[in-house]
Amino acid sequence: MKVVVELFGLARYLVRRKEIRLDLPEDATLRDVVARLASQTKELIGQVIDGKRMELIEPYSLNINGQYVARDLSMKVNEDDRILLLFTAVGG
Amino acid sequence: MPHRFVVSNPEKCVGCQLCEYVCSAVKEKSFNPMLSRIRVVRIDPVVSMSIACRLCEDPTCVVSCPRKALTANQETGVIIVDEDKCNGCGWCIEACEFGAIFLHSGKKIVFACDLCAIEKEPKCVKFCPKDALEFMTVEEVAQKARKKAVKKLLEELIKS
Amino acid sequence: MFGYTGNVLYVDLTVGKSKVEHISEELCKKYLGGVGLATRLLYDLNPPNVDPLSPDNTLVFALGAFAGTMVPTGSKHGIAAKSPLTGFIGDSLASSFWSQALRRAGYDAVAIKGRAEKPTYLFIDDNVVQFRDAKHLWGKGCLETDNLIKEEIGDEITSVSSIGPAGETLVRFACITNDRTRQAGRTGLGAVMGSKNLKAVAIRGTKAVQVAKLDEVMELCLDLYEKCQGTATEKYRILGTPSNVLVLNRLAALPTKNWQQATFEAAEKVSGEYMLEHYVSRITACSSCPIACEHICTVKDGPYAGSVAPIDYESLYALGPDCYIDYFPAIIKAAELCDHYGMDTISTGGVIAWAMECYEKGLFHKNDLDGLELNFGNHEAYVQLIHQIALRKGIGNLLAEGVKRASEKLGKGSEQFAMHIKGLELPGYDVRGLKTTALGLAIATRGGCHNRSPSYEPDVKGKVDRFKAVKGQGKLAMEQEDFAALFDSLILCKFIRGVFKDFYAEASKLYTLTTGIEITARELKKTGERICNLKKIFNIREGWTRKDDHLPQRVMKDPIPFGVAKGAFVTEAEFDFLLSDYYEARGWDEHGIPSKQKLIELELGDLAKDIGVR
Repeated sequence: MKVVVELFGLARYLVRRKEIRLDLPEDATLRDVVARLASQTKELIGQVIDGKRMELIEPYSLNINGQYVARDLSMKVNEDDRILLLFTAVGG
Repeated sequence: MPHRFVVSNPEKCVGCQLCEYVCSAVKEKSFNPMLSRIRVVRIDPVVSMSIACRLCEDPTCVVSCPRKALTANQETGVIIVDEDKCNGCGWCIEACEFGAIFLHSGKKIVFACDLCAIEKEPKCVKFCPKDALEFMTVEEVAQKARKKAVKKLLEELIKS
Repeated sequence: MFGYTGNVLYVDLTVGKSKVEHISEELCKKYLGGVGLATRLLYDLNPPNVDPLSPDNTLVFALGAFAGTMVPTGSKHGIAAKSPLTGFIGDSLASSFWSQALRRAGYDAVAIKGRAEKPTYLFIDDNVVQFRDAKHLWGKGCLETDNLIKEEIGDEITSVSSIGPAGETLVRFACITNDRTRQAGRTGLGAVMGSKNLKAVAIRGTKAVQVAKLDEVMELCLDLYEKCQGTATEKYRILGTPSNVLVLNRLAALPTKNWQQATFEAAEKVSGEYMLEHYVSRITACSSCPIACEHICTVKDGPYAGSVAPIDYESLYALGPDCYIDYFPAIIKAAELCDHYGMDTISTGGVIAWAMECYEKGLFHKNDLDGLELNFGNHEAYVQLIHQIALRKGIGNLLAEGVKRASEKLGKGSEQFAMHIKGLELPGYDVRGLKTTALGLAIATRGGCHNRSPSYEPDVKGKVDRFKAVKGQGKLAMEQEDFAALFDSLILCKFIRGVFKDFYAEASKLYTLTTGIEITARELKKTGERICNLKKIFNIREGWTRKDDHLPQRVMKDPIPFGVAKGAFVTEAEFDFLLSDYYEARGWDEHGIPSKQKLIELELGDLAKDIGVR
C-alpha cells in the first residue's frame, strides 16, 4: 500500500525533501508510518520523532489528507493517503 | 599560565542580554545591567556580541592607574582593585580598549569581570541560552578558529 | 515590593505636569500587569464614550510583573486606550528594552491623558520627567526618531517608544514602535498618541530590580532557558512564525486575495522555508528572551534592494497572499515601509486587499487613484499605496480610515468583502474551515484578533472537527481567551507556552518567587477569567451589544472555492449556536452581559452598576 508523507518546516529542512513515499503492508497503521520514517529518515529522530517510543514529539502530529488530525497512532492508513507531518502550534 | 576568560561568539549571540542579568544577580544580588561585568553590544540589525574583561597579558588599565590601585592576579590575570586607593577617576576606563572595566555607581570604585571568583566558574557561560559564551584561553580561541577554517577549506575541496 | 515598584506615573500633557501615585500589592495581584492592569487603569481613568482621538482618552502603558528581570520572555509591556479603529478596548503588547527601562526608572505603569499644545516627547529619566520639544522629530520615521532622540540624550541605555508619520496623520491603525523593530501593532494606539501631539516616550532607567527569592528564580530560569532550545519552541527559532504559510495553505486555511480563496498558488514562494533559504540575514531576540524568534530579512538585489525588515507570519500573510503578492522582496519592502511609518502591517495589508478587490470590480473611479493600477498582485502599486495611506494622500486618505469605515463610505456593496470584525482587519486564518477560530475571532474584545483568543489551537491540533460547530467549542474559545489574557498580563510571551508542563502551577510559582506575592494556580486561572470579563465590561460601557460579535459577510456567504476545505463556510445558524455556547460557558446571558453572580465571583461586583446589571 502506497502512502505519501508530506514534510514542512524543520522536518523538510532536516530531510531536504518535501515528501516521502512509503510502501507499507496492507494493514499498516500510523505507528508503522512513524516507525518507517524513523528508519528511513534518521534526521528526524530526536527533534520530531521520539526514537525510543516511536511517537511524534509534541506538538507534532499527523493530519490525514488535510481533513483531520489522527487521535492516536493505532489508526489504519488507506491507499494513497497523504499524511501531513505538522507542527501544530500555529500562531504568530 | 594562560589566562582563561569569557569569549563571546557573534555568530551565536542573539543580543538577549541575559548574561548581564545573570552577572548582576550573582555579583550584586539584584538585576541591574549597569552593574554587570559583561556587556552586550547590539549593532542592529547586523551583529551582537558581549564583551567582558579579556585579562590582557599586559593590561593597559593597570599601567594607566595614577594611584597604582590596580594589579593583575599572577595566575588568573583577574584585575584586582585596591578599594582604598581607587578614587574613581576613570583613567583606566579610558585606557581600556574594550570598554570592559566600569565605575560602580554604588561603591564609586571600578570593577571588572573576576570570573565569578567565589563561584569558581563564570555563571554567564552556564546560563547563556544560545551557548554563545565560552570560557577559553587565547590558544583555545586560535585552535577553534583553525579547525573551522580547515573544515571550510576541505568542504570546498570535497565539492570540487 | 519585589518585581513591581508600586509606582504609576500619571502624565497630563495639557498642563505639562506629571505625578507619581502608589498602587497596592492587591491591585497588582488582581490584574497582574500588562493588558490586565492597563485595562483596569484605563477603565478608571476614562469616562465612558470619549472620542478616542480627544484629549480625554487615556493612553496607558503597563509592565508585566517580570519586566526588568531574567525571567525568560518577561521583558514586555501592554498598552491600552479606547481604540480609534474599533471604538472598543484597544490593547496591544510590545517587547524588549523599553519594558525593562521603564521598570528600572522606577515605575510599573504610565498613564497619559490630555493633549500637548505642540509636538512633544516625554523623557523619563529615573525620577525626573521632562516634556521636551519634538518639533524637529515630527514627520520623521520610527527608526530615525529612535536615533535622533538617543543622540540628543546621549546615553545609549535610553530606550525610545515612538510613533511614525502614520500616527501623526492619525491613520486609524497606526502603531507604537519601540527599540527600532518592536511594535504594539494593533488597534490604532499610534493614532491615540498622535492625537495627543506625543511623538515619543524616551526612558533612561538606572535602578536595580529586586526579586523576592533570587536563588530559586535563577534555578527555575536556567531550566526554562534549556527547555526553550527544545522542540516546543523549534518553529519560532528556526523558520519563525512564517512556517505557518505552508501548513495553513495545505489545510486550505490561508486567506488569499482578500479571502476570495483559502489557498495560494504561489505559497511556496512566500513560505517560511523559502524565506529562510533566500532572505533571512539574522535572527535576534528581545531583551530577556532565550528563544530568539525575530527573523530579519534583507533584499540583496532587484527593485527593492536594500530593504530590511523582520518578518512574522501575520505581516507576511497580509502583505503577501491577502494581496496576492508572490514576490517576497516586495513583502519585505512593504513591511519596511510600515515599520518606518509606524502602521499595523495586518491592517495595512487587509485594507489594501479590500481596495484591490474594489478596483478589480470597478468600484473606484480612475481619478480617485491617480493612475494606480491596483490589481491583485501588483506590487509596485501596493508599495506606492502604502506611502499614500501613511500620509493620507489621494485614495490613501480613505484607506487610512480602516476597512470598516472605508467600505461604509464607499458603499456599492464593498461592505460585503470588508474583512474585519468590530473594525479590526483579520489575521491569516481562514475561519470558514476553522470554526472554533471563527468564534474566537468574533468574540475577541479588541476585534478580529487571533492573539486574544487563540482558538486556532483546538482546530489545527484536531481537538475538535474544524469543519463543524458543536457544543463545547464555546468553552474552548473561552479557555483559550482566559489563557491568552494571563500571558498578556503576567506578561509572558505566548511562544514560551509549549515549554510548561503544568502552566498554572509553574507560572504561579514563578510569579510568587519573583514578586513575593502568594498566588495559587487556581487564583491565577481565575485572574485570566477576571481580565477577560473586565475587558468585556469596558466594551459594554462603550456600547457593545451582541451584534458586535459578528463575522464578515464573506465568511458566511462565500464558501471556500477549492482545496481540502472546499465548500466550507460558517452558516448564520452555526454562528448563532457557537456564540450562544460561548456566552453560556462564560456565565453571561444571551445578550452577552455578565450576571451579577459572575461579577461578584470575579471580584468585579463594583462595576455591575456601570453596565446596568442588578
